[in-house]
Amino acid sequence: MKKLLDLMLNPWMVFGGMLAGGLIGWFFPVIAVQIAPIGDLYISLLQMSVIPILLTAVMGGLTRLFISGSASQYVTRLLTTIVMGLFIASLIGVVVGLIGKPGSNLSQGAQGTLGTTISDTEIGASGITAEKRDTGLISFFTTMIPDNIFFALTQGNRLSITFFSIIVGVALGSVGAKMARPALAGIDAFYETFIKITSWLMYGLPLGLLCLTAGQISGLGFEIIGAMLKLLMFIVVGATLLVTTYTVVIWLKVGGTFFRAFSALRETLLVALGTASSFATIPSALRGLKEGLKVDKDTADLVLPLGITINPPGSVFHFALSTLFIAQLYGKQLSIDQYVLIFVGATLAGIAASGAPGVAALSMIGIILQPLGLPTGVAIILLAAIDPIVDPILTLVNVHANCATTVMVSSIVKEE
Amino acid sequence: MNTRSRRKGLRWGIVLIVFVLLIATATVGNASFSGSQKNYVQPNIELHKPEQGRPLLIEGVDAAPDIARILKRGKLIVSIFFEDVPPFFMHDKKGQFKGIDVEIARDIAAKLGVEVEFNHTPETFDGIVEVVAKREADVAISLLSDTLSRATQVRFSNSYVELHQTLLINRLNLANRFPTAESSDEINFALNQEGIKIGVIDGTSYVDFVKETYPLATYVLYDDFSVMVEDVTNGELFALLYDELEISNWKYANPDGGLLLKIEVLDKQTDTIAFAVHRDDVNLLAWLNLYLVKAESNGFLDNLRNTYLKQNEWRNQ
Repeated sequence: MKKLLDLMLNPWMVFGGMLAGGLIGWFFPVIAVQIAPIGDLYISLLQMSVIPILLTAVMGGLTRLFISGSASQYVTRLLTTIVMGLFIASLIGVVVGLIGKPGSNLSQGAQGTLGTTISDTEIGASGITAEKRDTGLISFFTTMIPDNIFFALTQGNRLSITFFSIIVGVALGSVGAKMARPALAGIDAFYETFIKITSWLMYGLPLGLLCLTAGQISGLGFEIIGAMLKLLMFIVVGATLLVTTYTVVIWLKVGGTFFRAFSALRETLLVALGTASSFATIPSALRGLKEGLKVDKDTADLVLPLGITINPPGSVFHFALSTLFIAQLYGKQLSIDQYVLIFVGATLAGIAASGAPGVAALSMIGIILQPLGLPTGVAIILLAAIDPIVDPILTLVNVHANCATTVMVSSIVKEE
Repeated sequence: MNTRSRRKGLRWGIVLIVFVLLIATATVGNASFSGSQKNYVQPNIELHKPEQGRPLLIEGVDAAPDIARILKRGKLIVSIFFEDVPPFFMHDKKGQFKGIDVEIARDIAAKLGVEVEFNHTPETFDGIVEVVAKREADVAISLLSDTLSRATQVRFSNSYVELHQTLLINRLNLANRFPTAESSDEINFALNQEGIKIGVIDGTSYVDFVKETYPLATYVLYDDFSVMVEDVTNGELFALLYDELEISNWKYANPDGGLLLKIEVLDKQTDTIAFAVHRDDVNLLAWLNLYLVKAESNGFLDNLRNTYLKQNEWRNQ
């Protein structure tokens, strides 16, 4: 029994589950549709404990930081690292878009597929749903601040929950160590409990990913993917670049071999890819950071959940690259000013998108496209059409980026 | 030590049982759902094949005179436009005459138990009305709009298809001048501005419509639809207004057009299509309206609208 359970935790087993799921989805779509609900069930189980973990990790971490008195330097460094990371991601997006030209010279057939997809979606004849949402940074702040924390908790609004946790953590850290300690012990106990629950769930990971992947693959629309293959390819290229960068960053800080820096987070990256939910990946990422990379507990518990909520370099990269894709599609010549606008705009759009759920997050690309005079509606429809493939890749990049951020911040703090 | 490990085994046992139960529930629930999906059979047009010689008369009771005329002749004469207007009436690649109006005409004749004959003489749409008014045909089934002026001469049935006026808008011009315009209200507001040029075909009802709806915009008259589309594509015009059918035919012929041009169907501007009969044929009209109610409720009309207006397979046949 024990041996069998250990086998289920083996990353190769997890990878095998995903691969088998992909094959089932491709060759036996009927079976895939039937087992897909098991995958959804598994995601629900994983996400079940995420909000309590987010709440307790951020509260506990911040409280400890304030009691020890190292908060202000810490926060500055965290913010610097995040902003740097976002700018790098945005820059890679622009550069990949400039060199790769994913939107130029599309074949007549591909243009036909894109045109039909857009028209059919707009007149309501296709299966794609492109939700519209208020775009802009104002809406980011209105979603961030909850008017009722219990409502935000029941709605699962992560941005407001994180905001609330930060405020409570700071407050608890400021009432004095004597008063804060008992509360902190309680918070830590709950935190460990929920982490325990999710660690049990890892035994079901191979099966869960098998069902999830099968369902995702069987639901893909191949025609539109063919038409946007060039963009998809360059998203993969950029994602690989980013993941390599993050691995190098982790490697330089942690030491050891390059392979160890990567393999400590193998399971985490597979969960990210399989579930396409960065929040569901938090427990696995925390374990990878603490056990695999020996990052100190306090930093990991605070920085990682915080980063996952507000720091999405993957989405920033996606917005930068996709903006160039749309500009190239419409043959628009961009000036230097406009490239700067894309570079900065993608960062803002990425942050704004972190507060929006699912496909609605894509509509934040309007922040960049509207000043450029490019059609936002078209971008949302096309990006929504390939989102089932792109979302897992971006989730992987987002999670890995925040693991790297955590490692960066933790080692700097240790030096002090 | 021994009890501890046994307890641990028990714990895992419970977890395992719960998991297996969950999987079983998910699979069973899903299997029954997909089973019912397979059993779904699409309603088929073939069900409405002509049934010749079905007795319509109850013994000893006469049919209404306007219907009796058709039954006695054994033939329903249908007035229809002289040229093909797909998807309402057209010849397919094998030369077969088909389309929404053709299928409806055949079905009506079958329900009456007579044959159908198409009168193809009218060369204008008002001419179709004229043929009925002069009793050269029993009924007009020919993409005929039930306008108030036509209704002074003939009687119209309830409408069986609704078409909408439709805009084709240059996406880049729209995104440049009105970057946030997304909903149809916002787009209508955007079009009613000084300096916006909207194309319409000369001599159609669309000219008046543009003048009324977008009084601040400038309208440009065209004779040819394809020239007008070209001018929207190259940005000369901001948008054009035409009917849903022409634009859907254009969309099918130019799939990549959707990238540059946005189709905006104006939901509030409907063009209702109906049958026309001679003004004295009140019984025939009542019969036709009853027919439409039945054809609506048994899914025959829905099926036709799906086949010819929403799907594109008929274009390849």
